[in-house]
This record gives sequence, structure tokens and C-alpha cells, in this order.
Amino acid sequence: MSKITVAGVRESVRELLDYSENTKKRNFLETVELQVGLKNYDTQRDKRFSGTVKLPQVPRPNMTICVFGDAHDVDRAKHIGVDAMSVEDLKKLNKNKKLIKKLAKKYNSFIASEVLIKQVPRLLGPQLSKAGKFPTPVSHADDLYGKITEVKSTIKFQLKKVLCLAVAVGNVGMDEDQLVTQIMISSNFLVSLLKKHWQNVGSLVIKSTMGPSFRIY
Amino acid sequence: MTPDSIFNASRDDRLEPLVLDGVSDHIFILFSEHKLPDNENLGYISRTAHTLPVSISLHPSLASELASKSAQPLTSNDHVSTLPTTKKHRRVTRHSRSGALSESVCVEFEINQSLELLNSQHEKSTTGAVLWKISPLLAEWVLTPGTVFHNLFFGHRECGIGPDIIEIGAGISGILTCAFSIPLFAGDNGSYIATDQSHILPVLKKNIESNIHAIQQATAHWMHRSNVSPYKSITITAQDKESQGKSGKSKRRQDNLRRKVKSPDHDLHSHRSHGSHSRESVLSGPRIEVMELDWEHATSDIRFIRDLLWTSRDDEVGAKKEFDVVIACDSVYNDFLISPFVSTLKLLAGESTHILIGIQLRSHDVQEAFLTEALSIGLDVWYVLPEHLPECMQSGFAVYYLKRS
Repeated sequence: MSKITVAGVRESVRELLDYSENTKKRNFLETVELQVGLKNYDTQRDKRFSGTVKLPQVPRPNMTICVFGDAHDVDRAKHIGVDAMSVEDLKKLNKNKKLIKKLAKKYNSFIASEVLIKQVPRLLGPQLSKAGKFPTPVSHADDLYGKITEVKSTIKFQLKKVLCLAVAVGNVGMDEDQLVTQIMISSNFLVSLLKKHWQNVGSLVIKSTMGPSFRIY
Repeated sequence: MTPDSIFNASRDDRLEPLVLDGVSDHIFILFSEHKLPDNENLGYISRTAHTLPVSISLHPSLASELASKSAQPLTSNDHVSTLPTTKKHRRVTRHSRSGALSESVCVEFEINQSLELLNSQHEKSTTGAVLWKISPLLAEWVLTPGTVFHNLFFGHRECGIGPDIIEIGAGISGILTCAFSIPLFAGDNGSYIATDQSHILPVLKKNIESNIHAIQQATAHWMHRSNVSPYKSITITAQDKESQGKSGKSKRRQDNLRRKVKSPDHDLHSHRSHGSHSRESVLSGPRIEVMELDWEHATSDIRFIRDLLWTSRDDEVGAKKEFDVVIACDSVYNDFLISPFVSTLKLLAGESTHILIGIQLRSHDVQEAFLTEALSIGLDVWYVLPEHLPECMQSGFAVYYLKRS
């Protein structure tokens, strides 16, 4: 049973969109974030959660992705216009911590050819794991473009040591309906990750990058 | 028969040893290739059902294994010959043809979940209040003959004693207790000690009591025991920590005994008298106990458990004072608890103790910290290669085997 209603969320979304379109329009595409405050959650006792959910729309179209590919996948990636690195390119980093850290920061997500995944940690060391950026495997049979869209539309909730977290769920270029759907799916999924469901939720707030926040729960 | 011949991780190619340097690579591959699919919840089966139906299916070859063991006197090669010869072990196939039975038997359990506790603002942990996914999956897998850890539970009878099994962080379900009561009853000895924090124990005890009969009924006739009354009543004891004096003198409350008594002297006496009472039950059959083991007070809790379990049968088993198997499911989930948890494992790990840990992949840094801590504290760690896990556990879960270095 959901504690937030479509009508209520729609109201907030309308105001949010109105602000960033009419009150103060920015000259970049503002991201819409879902900010979560938790309660009754014992960070020292409760299960640390982590989960991913695929949304119908890509929240941030200009999210950056890099493909670690074999020859075939590097070609495919270049064809689509996505950055790609071959094993040779990775070797060139020479396990240099600074360079690898930079690489991990530069991209939001990674995709790796299935056959290469086992080599990646040997080539790059623990830096990617530390950032929690585990590559999504792709096989030659998969449609790479589809895979990229899938990765881009997948959001991840992961609780660290503090009781709040924020996830990008959409952008102000989306229409009201799309945004409402994105927010409803994200919120309900988040709640399923919580042991006490809504009893663990202190607040849910949506906010565009530069706009004010709107509390939806 | 030495413990090594029951199970030797170094010689089993279904397991891969982990070293400190390799932990992060292992985590990387696990979380890239085998993480849970999208839309998974936290890992509970249901958080709204007061009674949760759960089933475990028993592979037909288990029937023939149990039957062959009880039909003949024990010979050391007995269990080996009944194992399937195939190297690849798949999930239970319902209509596979092997052994006396042709179909697997589905055992139905009804688990009472403690939703009041789950939803309470309890000071204590509420994690154990519901059943987590991995437990029934792991139970079903281990009960299947030929799988990696089957022999840990079923191979001990040639020694004439045990297995003595302890579960830590059991939660309310008791499902592993029920499942692994099979080897106890089959061998007519051994013990299963299900432990958790004290506030979990009453529901755990209730669940074991109401479900253990289902598995007994399903397996009794396999051991040719239809005409004998095979199972004695089960001893379920809970240590009453709250009434424990500051001196650390342990009082305990036994299931069938009346309320706890007030005078410490009297308690000690009743403890002692219970000791002799349980001695008889130990010597005459399997033993199941529900006891408190709080990882943060592990030293004293374990001392209590050991005293209870072994003082009474010292002369019977000689020097044996360690558990054969330590098992824990989904109990690595928060970095704060890793250190107490791993120390508890270390305290329980004797020369020949086998430790079995089932984990749901959730937070990569928590899992990495657990493995690192275990390796640093003097435990050897192996992981089960995912292709040797049942299909339903190949993504989203990992199973580790630990042993004292």
C-alpha cells in the first residue's frame, strides 16, 4: 500500500516544473532528484540496503558511460558514439592509481564485454570497486545500444552510513506524466528495500537542480 | 575417520580459496556478474505475512541415502557409494530417477513471523523477525546428496558421534534447524544449537516446535522406522539472560520446567539437576536447543553453551569439545556488526570445525570488509564457485566456507 498518491505527487511535480520553466529558467537541463530521509533505521544494526530499478525514461540523458570492450564491442561503441576502451587502453593506465581514479570519476557507469570482466580488476585494481562502479556485462548477442539505454535508465539506491540519500529520477525536460511515473516507481521501490517499509521513511522530497524542494511525503 | 575425509576444502575443486590480495577482485567479479536482478527487495520473502508458507523439496536420492544407511551397519564407504556420480549439480529436479524414490518430496513449513517485533521501535535488532530468502534455498541445497556441503552434515555418522551443529543469527524461522535435524535423527545423535539474541528465541522455539514434525514425517519411513517410535521429544532450552546476575552466573529456563526460581543457589541447583537430566537425553538421542548467543557478548554466551553441551557428556566423547559445523545465513549486512560476528566465528572455530556462511549480495563494501576481517583474524576462506551453487542461488547470493588457519 503506497502512502503517496499520484494526485499529490502530480501537484508537487507541477509546481516544480512551473518554477524551472517559468520562474527561473536555467540554460541547462536541470535534473530532478528524489531525496530521502530515513527514520527508525539503526545504521549499526539494520541491513544495509542496495538495489537497482529500471525506470521507463532515462533520468539523465547526458550521463556518461564508458565501454571496456574487445575489438568487436569497441567498434560497436564507437559506432554509437559512446566512449570505449580496449584492453590495450586499460593496460596503458599502467595501474596508475591517480589515472584510474580519474577514470572512475569521469564516467557515471561502465559496461564491459562479458569476456573481459574477469580481467578488469587485474588491470584496474580496486579503484572501481571502491567507487561502487561495477561494470554491467554485455555479450555480443546483446544489443549494445539497448544495453546502454538500460544502464542509463537504471537507478541505484544505496545507503551509506548516513540516514539520507538522493537519487536522480528525471529531468525538467520530461512532461508531467512521465515525471510522476518516474517518481512513483522510484519511491515505491525504495520502500520495498526498507525492512519496515513506510515506517522507515521520514521524508521524501523532490527537487530540481537549482529549484526549491517540494515535499511529497 | 578424520574430519578431513568428511570434507576437505583444499581438495575440492568446487571451492576456490581466497587470499587477502584477492578479496577485492572477487568482490568485483561477484558484483559485476552475479548481482541480484533489478527490482529485488531487501531480501525478505514477505514482511506482511504473519504465517508464511515455505517449502523445501527433498531430493529422491536423499531417501535412498538415508535408507541405505539405516538398513546396513555403518561402513565407512557407505555414504560415498550413494552419492550421484555426476560432477554438475543442478537444482532439485522434481522427476529425476535415482534411488528408491522417483520424485522429490516437498516438505511444507509454516513460519510464524514476528511482525510486532519487526514493526516495533525495539531497542534491539529486529532483523531476525522475518525469514530471509537465502535460508530455505541453502537448506534445500545442502540436503541434496552430492552437493558441496552435504557431507558436512551427513558424513559424520561414521565417526559415531555428532554432528554438533551451531547456527548463529538464526532469526525466528527455525528453518535450518528443521532441515538439519534430518542428519541428527538419521544418526540418532548429535546436536543442533540454534542461537540468536534473547528476544528472538521465544518465536524461534515456537517455529521449530511446530515445524519439525513435518520434516520428521517426511523422512522417518526412509530410515525404516515406521514401526518404531523414532523420535524422542526435543529439548529446547533458552538461557534467560535478563535474569542473569552481575556475577555472570548463568541462570536458565528450561522449556518444560516451571518458571525461573528466585534464589541464585536454587537456580544453580536446578541447573545442575538439569545437567544430569539432559545427560540422559544426550546419550540417548539427538538434541535440539534454542539458546542465546549475542555476537557482542560472544565469549560468555559461548562458554555457557559449551558448558551445557559438553560437560554432561565429557566421558562419552572424550576430548571433543568443539562444534563440527557452524552455520549462518544472511548475517553479514552491516559493517558495525562485522567485527563481533567474525570474532564469534573465531571463538567457535576449533581444529576441525567447518564454518558455512550464506550471504545475499547487498552492499559490496560490507561484504568485502567481512572477508578481509575473516582472513586477517586467522580464518581461511573459500568461496563456492557460482556454477556449483543451485541455479536459484547463482545470482544474488554467495556461499563461503571458513576454517581456522
